[in-house]
Amino acid sequence: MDKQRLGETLRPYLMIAPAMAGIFLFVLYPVVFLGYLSLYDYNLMNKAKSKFIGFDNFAEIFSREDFYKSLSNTVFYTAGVVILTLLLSLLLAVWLGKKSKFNVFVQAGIFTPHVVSIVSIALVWLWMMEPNLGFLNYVLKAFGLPTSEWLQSSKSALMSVILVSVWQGIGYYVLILVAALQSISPSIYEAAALDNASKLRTFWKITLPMISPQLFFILVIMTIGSFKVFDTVKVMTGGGPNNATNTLVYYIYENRTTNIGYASATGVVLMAIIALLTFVYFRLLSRKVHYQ
Amino acid sequence: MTKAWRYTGLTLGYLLKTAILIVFVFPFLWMLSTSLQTYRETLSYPPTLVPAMPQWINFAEAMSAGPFLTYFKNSAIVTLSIIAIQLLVMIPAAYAFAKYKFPGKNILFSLVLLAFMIPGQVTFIPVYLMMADWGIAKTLLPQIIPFMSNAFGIFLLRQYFMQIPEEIVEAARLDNAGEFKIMRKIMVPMSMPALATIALFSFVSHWNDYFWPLIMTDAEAIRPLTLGIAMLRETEGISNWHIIMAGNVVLVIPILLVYLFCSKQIVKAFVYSGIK
Amino acid sequence: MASIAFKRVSKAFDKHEVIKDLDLTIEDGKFTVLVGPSGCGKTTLLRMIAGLDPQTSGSVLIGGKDVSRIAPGKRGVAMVFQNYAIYPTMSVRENIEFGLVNNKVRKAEREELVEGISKAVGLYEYLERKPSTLSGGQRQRVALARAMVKKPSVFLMDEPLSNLDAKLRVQMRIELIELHKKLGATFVYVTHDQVEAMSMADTIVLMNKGVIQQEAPPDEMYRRPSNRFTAQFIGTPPMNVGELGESGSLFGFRPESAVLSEAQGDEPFSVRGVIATREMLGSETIYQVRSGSGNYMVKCSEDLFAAGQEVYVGVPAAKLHFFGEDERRIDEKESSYGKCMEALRGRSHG
Repeated sequence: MDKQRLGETLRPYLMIAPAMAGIFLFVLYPVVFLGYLSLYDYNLMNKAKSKFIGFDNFAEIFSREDFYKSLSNTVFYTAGVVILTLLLSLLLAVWLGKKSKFNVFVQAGIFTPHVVSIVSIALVWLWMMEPNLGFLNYVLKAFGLPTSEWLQSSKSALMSVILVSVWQGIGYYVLILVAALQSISPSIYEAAALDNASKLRTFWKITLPMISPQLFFILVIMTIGSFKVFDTVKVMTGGGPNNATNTLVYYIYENRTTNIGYASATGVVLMAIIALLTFVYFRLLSRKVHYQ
Repeated sequence: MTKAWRYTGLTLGYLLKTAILIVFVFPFLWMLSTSLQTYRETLSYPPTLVPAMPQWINFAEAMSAGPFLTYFKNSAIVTLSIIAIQLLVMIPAAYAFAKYKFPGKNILFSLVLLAFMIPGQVTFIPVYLMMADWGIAKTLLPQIIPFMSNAFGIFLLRQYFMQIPEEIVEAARLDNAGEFKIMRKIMVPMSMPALATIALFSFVSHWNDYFWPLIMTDAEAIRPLTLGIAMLRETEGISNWHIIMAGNVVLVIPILLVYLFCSKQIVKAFVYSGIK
Repeated sequence: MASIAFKRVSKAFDKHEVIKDLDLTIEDGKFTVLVGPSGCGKTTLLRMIAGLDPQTSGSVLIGGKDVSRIAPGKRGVAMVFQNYAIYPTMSVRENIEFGLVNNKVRKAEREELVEGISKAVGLYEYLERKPSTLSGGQRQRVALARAMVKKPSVFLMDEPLSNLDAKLRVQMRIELIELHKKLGATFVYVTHDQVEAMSMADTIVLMNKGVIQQEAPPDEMYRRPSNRFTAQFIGTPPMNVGELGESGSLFGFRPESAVLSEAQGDEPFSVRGVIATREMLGSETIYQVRSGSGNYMVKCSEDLFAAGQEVYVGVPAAKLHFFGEDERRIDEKESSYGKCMEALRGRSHG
């Protein structure tokens, strides 16, 4: 009899056990391990030679020029991607928001790059952006516009990477915003029309607040996503030219074999930045977001 | 007059929308075109749009640059195993989180959400060291088991389970169905849309994954397709764009075909995941 | 077949006690209706019988056997839920069959049972359909069939008719009465609708705030309500209740017990008032009479008066009810009954 009761008490724990094990083993424990590594001068070949050095790794991070370079690149990249994507996706969503077959078709087209591997995207754009033979410069020339060195100049490389990321990601956000726009009850617009509100005013006072939860979601997801940018950089520029596109994750990646402790410490810093940003967003913005 | 204006506006709208469409679809067409060109054609100015003679041999050349059959097999094994394991782990967990009360539930669930916020780009170094420690670094496992718990999937499925009326579960209990049977016969069939969404999501993200296998693999035998294609630039030379694009087509075509045939479901799935 | 007994049963949800030390016996083979306002604990009782929310303390007995530790599926009870709780991904046949499969009934027997039941409730042609293609009434029948096929000794029903439209509800009421006669099982039926309770029950158990107010057959509950709450819960419009004066006692009469007339009669209760509203319902008319001592609802079979008219409301002695300070019924045999009658007469004719 009591065996039965014990079984019932334990059952939910047994059911979540595999999932929790995975989460502890591959997410939570590694975070702790990462913190541990960040305090060591870690020797990959001979663990016994690893040395506890306290916060020396962190001191080194904040004294190194290349860290600041990769941090500022990441911040610039994130700001560029987030702002461009938010504005463009909002514009496209409003424009393509009406339910029609053609609009759905265009939305599906814009979304296509999102399901394709970033490796493919990066390779195609690498070829498109080739300064001498690439298609982009050909088009620019055909219209009599100045051409660009794209990825091969430290001036334009980061902007080029941003362009590709926006191009790939925007379809998803357009879809989310379109769905949000279509879920607004038409009677609200009818009421606004009866109140003689102008189109612009209706947009500012009704549409925007109504889709603010989705805008907020996009902001959070994209900021976090952009801070961990790696694939495009690795395939398209390798951090170059001249560190112009070296981002935080790429920086960690480059240091991962030569200096594990230092790379781990950088990982801790990256995690702290992401946590801080998420926290700040939720504190500042959630108050202004309209929830039904 | 006003009617004429409206038609002009409408036509202009269609043209602009078509232009947008071209911006997003053209790069893939250009990839396809390049993959069928000769080396000489790729060098020509103005660029060749339609190759004079489709060079199917480019594909053969790209595929002979590495053990692509192995890469493909690895990608398939890794992706399918991840989906299968994730579903097996996720369903009971989501069911317990949705339908049971137990001490510590809220704390444990917030740990799931916390895990969702921590990216692999932060944890890859310790996870790699663990895998090396366990002596499985030379197998496909490091690409599979770290993803056994899909935090996002557990969250999504729990939401879905919570919408299933309590009475249906109770009716099944009164029908003398065990908890395992309730899961298998009632919860799972009723949440097929959510499960399909999660599986599709996993498929797209792991088939396309580049970062994780790049970190976890240092031998040809365990590399997936994405890595193989990315490496074409090194093995085939940086200016052999027709070969690189041919390899790229091989990587893209399967997923584009899937997208072409079920774009509606895929679009719905992605929107669903974003709205909830 | 089985009787059901609650022995000093308590139930708390998160430390909030809903039911405390409740004793109740539900007779074997009877149609018992648990009725009361929402939140009174009637559904909680039902779910305790089913074992879905086991009691916090005390014991529940089915057929004399303590089932406190027995799983819901093994108690020999079947339940029909308010929203039917039909398994949406299964066909009608699979729905009805599910319990049998779980109880390892052999296939041939299963098929025979399912066919018999589905014919009885008129679902035979729909056996292979998905529930989503059925109408509300048909879904209701699936839920019933699913319960019936297990041949339970106890049938539990949680407001099963509340999702049907008015016409279908009346029809199903009759079908349920017939079903009970045919099966002879113990029926426990929960509802907040007193009309349903009156029309179907052998015994009504009226509850309020987790306490049983009265347990009686419908006619007794109507004629001899044991307290003010029962008097006012059963019957529409509810019983008129007024205060008797300093003693704190109350008097009451049903709307149809009063007689309206233009001249004062010699009934113990007789009050002059003005007709404030008149609702003509066809077979009867309901007046609201406003008087110095309060408003009274009066139901007449004839429509003789108009709004604004001045009338006398009279109630004969046999139709009067009295309740003490504690709102409990004062019986005719009790000494205070006469005192109350005197007080009322004095007020009307003094």
